[in-house]
Amino acid sequence: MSTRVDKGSAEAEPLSPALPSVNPIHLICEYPVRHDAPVAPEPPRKMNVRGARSEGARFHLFVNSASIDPRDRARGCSNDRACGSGIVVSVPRDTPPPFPASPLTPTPTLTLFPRQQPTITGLFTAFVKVNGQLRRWYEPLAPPNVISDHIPDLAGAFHATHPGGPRGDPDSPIDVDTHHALVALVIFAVAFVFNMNAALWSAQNNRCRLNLQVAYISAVAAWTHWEMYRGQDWYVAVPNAGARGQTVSFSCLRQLEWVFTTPILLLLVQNLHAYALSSLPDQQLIEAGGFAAKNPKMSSGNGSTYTPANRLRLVLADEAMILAGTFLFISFRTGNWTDVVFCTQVCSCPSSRSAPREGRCC
Amino acid sequence: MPIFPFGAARGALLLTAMACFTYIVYHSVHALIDITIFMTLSIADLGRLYAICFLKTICWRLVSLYFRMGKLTD
Repeated sequence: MSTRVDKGSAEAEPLSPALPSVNPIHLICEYPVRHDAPVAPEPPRKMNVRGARSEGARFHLFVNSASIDPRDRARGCSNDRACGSGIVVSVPRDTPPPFPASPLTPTPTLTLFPRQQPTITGLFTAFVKVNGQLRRWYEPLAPPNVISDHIPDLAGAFHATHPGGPRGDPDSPIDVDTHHALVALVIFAVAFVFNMNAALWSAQNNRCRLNLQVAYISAVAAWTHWEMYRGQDWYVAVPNAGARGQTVSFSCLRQLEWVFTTPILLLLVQNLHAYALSSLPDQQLIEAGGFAAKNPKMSSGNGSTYTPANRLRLVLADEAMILAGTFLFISFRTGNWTDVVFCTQVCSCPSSRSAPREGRCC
Repeated sequence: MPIFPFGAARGALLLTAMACFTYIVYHSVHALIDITIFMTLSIADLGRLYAICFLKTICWRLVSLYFRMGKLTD
């Protein structure tokens, strides 16, 4: 079997039938494109129009943004922005790739950012809007000067309380100190700038997506600590929900930050796994030639035994964990379902707007 | 004061949270271990990966410990 590989514009023939003609530069910097690699027959795929995509399809595209289609990989176009992004352009088999996958001729950037950029921008905007809207909505419901008094220390004992202490008290065990919030803000802002810079300079589309996801997480964390620095952290308080009838409260800003960032963090690990093990040079395929090409398991080339998780299930599990953890504290008093219902009544019952101030619910 | 008051709702929520946590941590840690074992990334990407592993496993624990020690010494 011929082991001819593409090394850009020139063709290379093996010096010996036993030696594959692989450009050493490609082995160091980039992997070559095999023109004789078997390509599985693929069904006809439709050209998706971005404007006609539904919200579910957009989420699915975002979740699977960094997964690399093996068929794209067989074509050697893992660097192309059209590959692995859900946008499939039908190209005749005999047509040579428009941009050779060589570091000497990097893939030109069609747009400044890939198509994931509007998605993460929308998520960040949604976080800011949801936080502001919920805070404005909850302000008339919040009991005045309520601070949780069930924060345990290392010994497992509970702090003596700050009943009636002012919100934002620097001695409070739960409020974030202004100096700490400012330091965290600077750290996350620097991380955001670094990752945006890396995304701007990245010639590979998959790396650019990873950088944008980290930049999104850093941006949400920076905004959260900016709000804390300004004293805009807000707590949802549930009177008489503690084990001794105390008021239980939790930072809703922190909960929202976790809701918006941890799913992306989990997807980032999955995308990193897909990027690391799917876009790598197929060394076994290169070294074994036709043998590996005839054995798909060998042609995976990495020996990995990990099966990637269902991404939608992973996101749902994360959100369920956060919600369960939140309601866990609210059901602290008696541990029955009435306390969970009680929490929803505090925020939903119209007559509860004045009830929490008096320590009772509707 | 009962630190862990049992109850149907609390038990169900606790089991749900623990099951979700186990599922998430299994896949995250397994994926990271898989990458560290089988990857042949460049030195720059290797550094990025170990930075992520460090941040996810060690750094946040140190931050938490720092805050708690600060509170204990106040």
